[in-house]
Amino acid sequence: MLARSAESLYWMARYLERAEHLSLLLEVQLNALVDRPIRELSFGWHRIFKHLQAQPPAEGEMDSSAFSDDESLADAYTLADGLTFESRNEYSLWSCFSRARENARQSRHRISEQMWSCLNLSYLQFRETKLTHIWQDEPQQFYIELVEAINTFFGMASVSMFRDEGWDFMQLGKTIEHLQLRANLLSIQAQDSPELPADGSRDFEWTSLLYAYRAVWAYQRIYGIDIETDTALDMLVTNSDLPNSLMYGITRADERLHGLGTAPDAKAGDSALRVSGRLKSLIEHEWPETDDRVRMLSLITTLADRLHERIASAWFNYHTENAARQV
Amino acid sequence: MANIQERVTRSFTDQGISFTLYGEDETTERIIPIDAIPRIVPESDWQVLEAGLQQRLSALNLFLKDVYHDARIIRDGVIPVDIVKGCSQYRLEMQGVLTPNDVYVGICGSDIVRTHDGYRVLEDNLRVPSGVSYMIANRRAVKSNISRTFRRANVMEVEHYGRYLFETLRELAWTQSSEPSIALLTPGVYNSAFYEHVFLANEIGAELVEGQDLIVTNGHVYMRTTFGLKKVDVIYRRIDDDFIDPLVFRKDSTLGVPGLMHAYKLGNVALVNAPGTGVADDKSVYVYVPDMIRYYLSEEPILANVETYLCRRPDDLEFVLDNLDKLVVKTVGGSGGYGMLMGPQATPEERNRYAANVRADPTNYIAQPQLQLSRSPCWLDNKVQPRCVDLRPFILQGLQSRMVGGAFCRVALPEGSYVVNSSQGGGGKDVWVVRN
Repeated sequence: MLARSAESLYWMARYLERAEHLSLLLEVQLNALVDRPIRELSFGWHRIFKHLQAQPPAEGEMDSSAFSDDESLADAYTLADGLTFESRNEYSLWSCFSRARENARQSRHRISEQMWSCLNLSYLQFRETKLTHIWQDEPQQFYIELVEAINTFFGMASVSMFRDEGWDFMQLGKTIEHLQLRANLLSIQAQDSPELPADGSRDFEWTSLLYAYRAVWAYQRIYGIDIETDTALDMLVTNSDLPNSLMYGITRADERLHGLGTAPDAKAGDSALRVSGRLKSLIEHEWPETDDRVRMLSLITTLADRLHERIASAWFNYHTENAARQV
Repeated sequence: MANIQERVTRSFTDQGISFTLYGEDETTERIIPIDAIPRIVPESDWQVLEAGLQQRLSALNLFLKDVYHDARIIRDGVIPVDIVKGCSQYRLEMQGVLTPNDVYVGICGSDIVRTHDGYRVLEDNLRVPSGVSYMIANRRAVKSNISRTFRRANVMEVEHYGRYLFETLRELAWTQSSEPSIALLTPGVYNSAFYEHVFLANEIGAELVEGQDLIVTNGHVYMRTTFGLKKVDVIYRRIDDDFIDPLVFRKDSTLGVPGLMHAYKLGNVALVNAPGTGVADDKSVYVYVPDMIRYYLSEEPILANVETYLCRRPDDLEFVLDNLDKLVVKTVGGSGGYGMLMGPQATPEERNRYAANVRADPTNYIAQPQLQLSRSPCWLDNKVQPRCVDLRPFILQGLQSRMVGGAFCRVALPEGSYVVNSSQGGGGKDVWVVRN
């Protein structure tokens, strides 16, 4: 297929995965507004902004220790609005969603009619929504529905999309984004959570992350009802059966890469496979028991970024002279 | 009826059947308004239209071959040389260039109006005619919402247009392969007709390429795929001549492919429509199409033109300037309803300003009487109201001529308007060619 179409599908999936990930975090964060202490709320917002590599609208407002609950809610409204609807924020949900649709539009002849309708309808509904509409009742419900809409889109893809390279690149984009986002967030959380007091706040942050990644039920089945930081991180990194774990993500990415065959730029393609294999090996065999986990997560994040670069060089932006032999 | 209209409109919105207006925010997409009441055309009328349009396109293709080779029609004095060679769409680069099966225009969309004395051709679109996707989308939306009426009405089908288009493009390839590699060249996602480009690429199973996806190596055109470079045999181009090759035409074009004309002239790739076809749909040349039919085919035109005044002729110019309040004046190379004067609706100041432009460059203008266009019932503001309409049937020319039994019907939606262009507030409706 056309390299540009493949890249559009890849990015469509990446933006949707990004939108889903941010929705999950915002859902958990807004749920916490109901009964969690302001200090934890502040940590949650910091976690999101650091993860997005973005500055909050007014840094001073994030230091919520001096504020009352009412003011904290007002902050939450402003922050959620910026993260959700602000088109000037390239990381906002709206930006991710509209870019996903733009990429889908560019490769519309490569996706099924059902996928396009599904995405377009969600986009139109999103476009008509304002934070004031959703803030009255349960704002988190909006994020739950957005995640459902994205999952419906991928479900629609799984039953209606032809299993050609378009499918492979879409799935590859989804898994690479999955890997990069989760590696980055876990790295931030592992780095910052020791700063939280060990009075339950630290455990709460890991519990909230397990909630966001729909992993609480699985955790409790494996480790029991008490959620502990180390085991939670172990599970989110290494468990191969958990769809939101790093292990699950790299395994899927590796499978997709092997399924694609020789890339137009074969050298970059081989390099992508090597990076992918290295990542898998790191998580499967070299994940440390206790120490050095932050450094390891940082290394995984770097390699995940590199994997994306290699894929782009191998299949999307290859030099034509490198591909000339395949004419 | 209100429910049907709502469902039909919603289906367009949900599917994102849109176009983008030039000059607006590049991300602005407009859903093309569709009216749910179909326009009825009897089969007997359609047969006349079909025969007339095929005759017309045959003559236009012969004309194009002639003006880019021997120019017999000019030497024989049927058309003045300055009208042809002075036309901005005449491409010197096409002199002596052969096309597969001598077809220059493989895809034509002619605008037909119905006046008090029958159907007339208002203009031929021979460069990159658009609107065919709306013909099919209108049909799908209307058919599914008034299915029983549709079934009873015995309407001719239009949905096989994609197959006809594919067969036409295959016949216009230089290669004899039954599976030529076809690409549809689009200016990109911000083009007003991008929806249509996607739609047609899908219908014919072609890759939808932009200029950046194509490269020319050793006189052949290749597209960049995830397997490497793949040779292209036929390009259905939806980019104007000016932009297709920066080495030959506009040097600042980023939409085209450097070296494309070189590969084309070598016969290594077919371009549909061929470059330079605009000389035959120039509004000055339009006046001579009935003469072309007589000259090349020795037949009388089946479909008449609209009476047209060429401002380059002194007598016509005088008449036009004296009667601006009764005429519609257009630039010869214009399209989309831009740059034209609707004399009867214009203010005296607007007419005076326009008259000055015409005097300054009369060769750039033609004028036509404001036609009393036929009107068709439309569902607007919860009641049936009459609105002016035209028809744009699409004629395909490969080894044979092909047409589906239907057309894109454009509607002037504002009350009292005669302008049907989508870019000027026009909408569309389905056309039912009803078998006798």
